[in-house]
Amino acid sequence: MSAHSEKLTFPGSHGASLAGRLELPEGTPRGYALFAHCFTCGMNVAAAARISRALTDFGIAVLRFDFTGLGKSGGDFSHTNFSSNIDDLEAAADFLRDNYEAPSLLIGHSLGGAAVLSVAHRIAEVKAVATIAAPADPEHVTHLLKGSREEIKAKGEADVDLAGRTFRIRQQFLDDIDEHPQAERIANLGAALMVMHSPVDNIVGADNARRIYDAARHPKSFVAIDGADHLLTNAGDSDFVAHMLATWASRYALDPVPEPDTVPDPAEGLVVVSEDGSGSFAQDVRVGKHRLIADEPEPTGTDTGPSPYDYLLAALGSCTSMTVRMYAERKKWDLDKVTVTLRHSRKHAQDCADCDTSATHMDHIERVIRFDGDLDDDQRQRLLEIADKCPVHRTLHSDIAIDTVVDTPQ
Amino acid sequence: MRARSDKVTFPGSHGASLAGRLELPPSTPRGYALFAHCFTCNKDVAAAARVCRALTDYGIAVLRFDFTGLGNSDGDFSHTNFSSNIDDLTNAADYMREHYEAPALLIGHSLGGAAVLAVAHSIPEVEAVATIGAPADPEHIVHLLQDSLEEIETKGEADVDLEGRTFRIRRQFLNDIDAHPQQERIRTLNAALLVMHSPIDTTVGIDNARLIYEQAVHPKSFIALNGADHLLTDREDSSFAARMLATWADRYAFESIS
Repeated sequence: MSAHSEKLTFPGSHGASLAGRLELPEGTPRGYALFAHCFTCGMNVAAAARISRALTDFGIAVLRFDFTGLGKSGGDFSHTNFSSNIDDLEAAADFLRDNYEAPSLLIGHSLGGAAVLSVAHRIAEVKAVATIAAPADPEHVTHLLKGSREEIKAKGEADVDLAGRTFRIRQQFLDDIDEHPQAERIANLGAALMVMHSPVDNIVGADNARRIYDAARHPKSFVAIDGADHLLTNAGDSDFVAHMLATWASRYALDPVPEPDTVPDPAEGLVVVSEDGSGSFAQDVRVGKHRLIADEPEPTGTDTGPSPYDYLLAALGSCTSMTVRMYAERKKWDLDKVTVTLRHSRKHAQDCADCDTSATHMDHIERVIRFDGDLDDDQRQRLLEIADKCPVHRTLHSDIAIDTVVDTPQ
Repeated sequence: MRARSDKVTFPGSHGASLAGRLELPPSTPRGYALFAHCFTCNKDVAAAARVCRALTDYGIAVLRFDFTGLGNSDGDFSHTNFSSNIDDLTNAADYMREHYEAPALLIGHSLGGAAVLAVAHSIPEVEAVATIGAPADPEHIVHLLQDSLEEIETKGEADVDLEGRTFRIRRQFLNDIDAHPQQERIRTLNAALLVMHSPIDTTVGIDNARLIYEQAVHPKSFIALNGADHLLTDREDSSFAARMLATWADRYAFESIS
């Protein structure tokens, strides 16, 4: 369920007031989507309502509305056509842009799918378009008019029964729907495309999905909604559509979501290092609320972070700098800036004149400290001595007991 | 509860012990999946490890393993071939059935994708098959051996550099890989299919995805992994692939379980 939804109205293509509903997620939306309903349907048809609400679970805000002359929107349906649907969608996008944020994702069901393919190039912010059970060409909808086509031709209009309700269709509707260069619009979509269709759809056959897919350029994807009917009557089907759609849109249309960090912060004073799961040497290092990465340079590791010895030098260097700073502050000396540069190396015993036989002395750390500021030679010399008093320095020189025990997994 | 993973070993097609890792979700798995790694890769390449781990977030348990002669598995790689990969997968499924639960979902990356398409019919519990960057025909792999083909033909074997490592390839490998009726297997695949591929894959071209997709019967789906490289090096790419896969498998592999 969405966190909350807002009823709203905005002017449509014919100037009539259109009724819409904006479903909003909890928190700041990762992006806005605009949903176009099926022919002679309304925004509250089950598929539209259910998909829109399910998308809010993924942080997506979704506006759906009744096209002019349908549902709670004003205007006369018999004067609308496919072009006015497109214009209504553009008006809806303008409304979102002015009052919230322009949609980066367009979703259309059935003829609404053809409409979002047609309007996408007129909404600059659109990054991704998804169709559900859409016809490859809007003209497909004239199949629904069957025997009434003759009457419309002869009398200029006819009352047509569609899904148990009567709609007046005029000649202008048929004239308009023939004129749309749909294949060309799909080829020039300029947005990522997701085509979703049931292989057993008996109102708009799955071949339509194939034609849309073939006409489009990459990145394009197709998802089979096996077993679903055209209107996605089954709640499981619209949920599946919403979940696939949201997961896909995460990559193609939405702001990234921060990876949920479900692992609790280590207690104060604890450092927890664990493999990051990439299968390489890379480590997640967790220190309180801080997250660090440790790795090895290529080709041994994947070089996603400093190496363990880099961290050792960083520990000594930062401790040195802080200790020197504290001393200079206490003495009120004019020290502007401390810079510590360190390098670690291992020397073989025979190359090392200073070395005794102990293996620990084969490690060598070079430390260069720069003191910027108005300091005399005595002060610099004193600061250099203080550098050796830094706690990490002392630790490295002390006998360190490292007690290791096995933590048995639960 | 947290996710855990078990190291497992089981006998492979040549009798050698194969090393596997079973990633388990924190609670009772909704279902089990089996993952086949890419050619001369191993179970711990980034794409395999990341996809498998990510699936546990969706309650899916996933076994990945090293094919015979690779990674921590025993055996001699030079005696393996595409047929032995398929047999290793069958053994892995047998092991899962005996010790955990048979896989309802097969996932294969690159040549591993061709292998899961080939093995699906011999694992009766399989409901869904997903390929990532897979060639339409296993024979595609021969392109990688291009420079060594002559040597293999004349001397019967050659040491081939692949991704910075050397592998001995024998003539038997080439003979075997020609002999697979892959089109027929895809056409008669009795499982839902998800084909995932990057349109800019330079190792296995996107045309392979189209061929697999066209040969298969419904329900079949295709997801573009736009911008990804063949090995899904970028973490975002493997994470996206895993999330799409898990969401799709929810309907096609594990629906009856939930």
